[in-house]
Amino acid sequence: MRSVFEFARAFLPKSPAGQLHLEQDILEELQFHLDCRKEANRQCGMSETEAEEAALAQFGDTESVLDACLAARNSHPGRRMARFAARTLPLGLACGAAAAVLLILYALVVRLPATYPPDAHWIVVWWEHAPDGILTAESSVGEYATWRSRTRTTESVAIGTYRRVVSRFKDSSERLLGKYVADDYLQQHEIRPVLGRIFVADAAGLAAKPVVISYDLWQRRYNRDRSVIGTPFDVDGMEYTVVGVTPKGYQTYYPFDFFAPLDLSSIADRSSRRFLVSAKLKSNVTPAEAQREFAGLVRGDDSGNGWHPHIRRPQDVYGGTYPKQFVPFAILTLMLLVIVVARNRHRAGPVRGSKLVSMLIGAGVIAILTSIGTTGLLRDTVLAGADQRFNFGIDGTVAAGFALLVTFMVCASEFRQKRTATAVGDAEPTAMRRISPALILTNALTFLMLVSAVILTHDWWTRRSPDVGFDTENVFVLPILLPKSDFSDRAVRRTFFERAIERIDKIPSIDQYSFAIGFPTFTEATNVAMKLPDPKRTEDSAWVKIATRAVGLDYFDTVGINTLEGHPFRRETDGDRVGLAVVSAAFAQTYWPGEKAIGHRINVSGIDTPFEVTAVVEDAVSSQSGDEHNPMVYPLVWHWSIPQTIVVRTEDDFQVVAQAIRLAISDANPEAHLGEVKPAGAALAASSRTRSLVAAFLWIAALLSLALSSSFTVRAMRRLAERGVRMVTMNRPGAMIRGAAFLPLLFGVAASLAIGALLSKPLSHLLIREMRLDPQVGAVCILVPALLLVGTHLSVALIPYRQLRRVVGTVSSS
Amino acid sequence: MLILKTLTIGRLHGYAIVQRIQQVSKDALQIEEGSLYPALHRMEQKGWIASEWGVSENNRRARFYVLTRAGRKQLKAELNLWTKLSEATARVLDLAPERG
Repeated sequence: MRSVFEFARAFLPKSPAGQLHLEQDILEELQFHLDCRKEANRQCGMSETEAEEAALAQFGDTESVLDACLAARNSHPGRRMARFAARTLPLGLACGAAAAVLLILYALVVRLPATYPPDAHWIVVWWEHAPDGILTAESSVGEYATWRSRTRTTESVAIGTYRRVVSRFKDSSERLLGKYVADDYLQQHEIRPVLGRIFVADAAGLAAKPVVISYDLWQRRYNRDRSVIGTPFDVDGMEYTVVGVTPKGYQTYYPFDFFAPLDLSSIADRSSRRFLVSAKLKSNVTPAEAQREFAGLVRGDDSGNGWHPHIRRPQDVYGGTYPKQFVPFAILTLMLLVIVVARNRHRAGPVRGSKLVSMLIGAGVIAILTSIGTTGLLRDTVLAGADQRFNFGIDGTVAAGFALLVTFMVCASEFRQKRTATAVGDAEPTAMRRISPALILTNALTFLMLVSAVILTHDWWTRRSPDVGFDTENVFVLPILLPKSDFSDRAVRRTFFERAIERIDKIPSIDQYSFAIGFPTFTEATNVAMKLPDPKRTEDSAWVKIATRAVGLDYFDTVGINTLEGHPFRRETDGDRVGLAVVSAAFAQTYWPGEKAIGHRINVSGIDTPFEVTAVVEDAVSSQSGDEHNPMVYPLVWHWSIPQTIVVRTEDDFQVVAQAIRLAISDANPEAHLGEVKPAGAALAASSRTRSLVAAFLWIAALLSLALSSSFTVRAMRRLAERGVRMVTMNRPGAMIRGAAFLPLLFGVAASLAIGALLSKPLSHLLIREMRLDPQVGAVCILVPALLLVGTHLSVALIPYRQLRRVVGTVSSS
Repeated sequence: MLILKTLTIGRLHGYAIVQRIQQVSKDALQIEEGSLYPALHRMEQKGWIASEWGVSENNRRARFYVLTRAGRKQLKAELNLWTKLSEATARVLDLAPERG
């Protein structure tokens, strides 16, 4: 039994405590020898000092002997294997975890994540309009029917579309995102509901239309009540019946709140491009083959009109993990391995090719497994409920912190390897091995928290008093919720708004009000493709995506955006005129520099009539997350066409004014109602407050950690002295410790802060949002600075150890 | 081989092994004493010798080494090899003047 235990123990690397115990054991044995020799020398007539010096001379270098003994004790093949595993495993884990972080960034910043369908054979259909290069994901019912009836490359073809609707619940109303799908869609996607059932054939024709609600909605609105099945569900005033609940995490493109049947037979315009088509390929068919088939069928029908299908895998469009993305991480793994091998070569002897190959394979496999596992884990934990959009505030800090933690895992692994390599028998002073592992841990935590704190502080500082471009003090917004069943007719909406405006105009406390689609401090502007002059003048014009926010009359006066030239939309604007737009100063400067912007026309993708520019206004933010003032276009939207939000300026109490508006709206039509009052600056203030609190907490934690780390450093150095390392500089131990530990540590912190602050911000804004790079290029642009950051931290974290080693080495040799 | 042979007389600590080697060789073999210990630990890892802590003649804690069965086998093998090698060396040295 004992031999089995010892055999098993031989395969385990020694713990730091075990290693220390072994050292003490050997030192005691050596000390016994030295004492015996000293005694013998003394008996030969030598003095105390002479006897000791002679014993030491006869014995040889004690440190070298200790090293050699430790090397001999660690030379068991099992332990060598364990060392190999210990070297490979952290590297693989580190690379995999780094890959996961970068993939999450990639998936959420550049693309939306897709968690379904997991089957590799699912594809989605996109279309490219050859003349202007516009890409869209929307197909027509005619194209879907053609492909579905004649396909030989797919097992099934699914269709759906989505719509924002208003649903009334017991106590309140909520704007929801619904997906309307063909009867067999959920069946094709192999959905197994957690509760109830899915709808199948002829669902759209039923009197009580079925609806399958999402797991999130079930949790949020029904508190996971299992009796929800069979209850009525209001969608824009129409009654549906809840028949099932989707599995947790099921998501296609957007996080939909419910799935309702789509009645394809009722769609008269079969060429209107507004449906999303997905398909499952047969097992031996490639996406390219399916694309050829679809393109042939579309040409055959002559319904393409310049549109060409592009078959794409969901993960290519919506993000996710797939083998191609591992190539850069495989390169990273290789680079790290080369560094590790190069660093240890002179100590541990030449590395055999077979060993390198096995390390590569081992680390690669672990990296892939870790990456896949961690990606899923992060998605389900850290990012769950983050509205599926990556916010480079707190979430970004979490991800950056995680990346740094990974970096320090690599550092710690490197240091452990150095300790092991030392035991193989080189001349590195034994004392180096006695640096506490706690020192590494606290250093890692310090760096982690300091960089996170800096990112957050920077973020908070820049948003502390953001120049949004307008006055947020006396402005609030109220979302308008109009059930479609009652307001689907444009004439009804127009009548309602005329009556509502008539009543709102009579509220004396309102200084000014307007209508808009969303509001800059709450919702992102929409990016719309427009044909504009090429700013570089290499071509006449190009299709460019521009941040666009549709606004109503008096919007600019209400919000407080100054007019620079022309006349923005005011009450006197002809009520039947359409196709008017106001542009921002940045827009005018970018596309018509040195010219008058007024009178220019802007061609917008999908709209036949160009927009005419009537005014230029001062720059303002396009969204809550935007710090810079992007070129903006504000097309005129008549409140009765797509009402979304009322924007109100008042110096009175917001709630009182809002109540007066509610009464006016209700008086105009009892079916209409308003959402919660949102002060224009509330979101900014709340986010600033949260960031400042978290930043403060991180700073305190980081400083405590720094103190702890310093204390460990001092203790480690004192231990070196106590253990008999003959330090000639011990007459100035304080100076030595400061020089060897504190200064490099501080330098490391400063360098980390500088790099973190420099790279984090451009990472999110300049490369992806501002420059609007192609997703693949964007991924590389994220990857390169991230690698630089990781590499810099790696080297910075090692500075204190290098310094210590040099000092101790110098001291020992002297 | 010298260490293994020394341990055939019984349980010895490192200092005693060095003394014994120097004594038997009549101080002909002067080695740096510290170099003994890595060899002892290596042989223990290989299972040729075993060690245990005990009390020395001057009443101090010391690590004692004893020869194991594998060690005896190894010693026998090394002695055979040494005998063959030394005989061969002697033969070569005897023949060398004749050729010259």
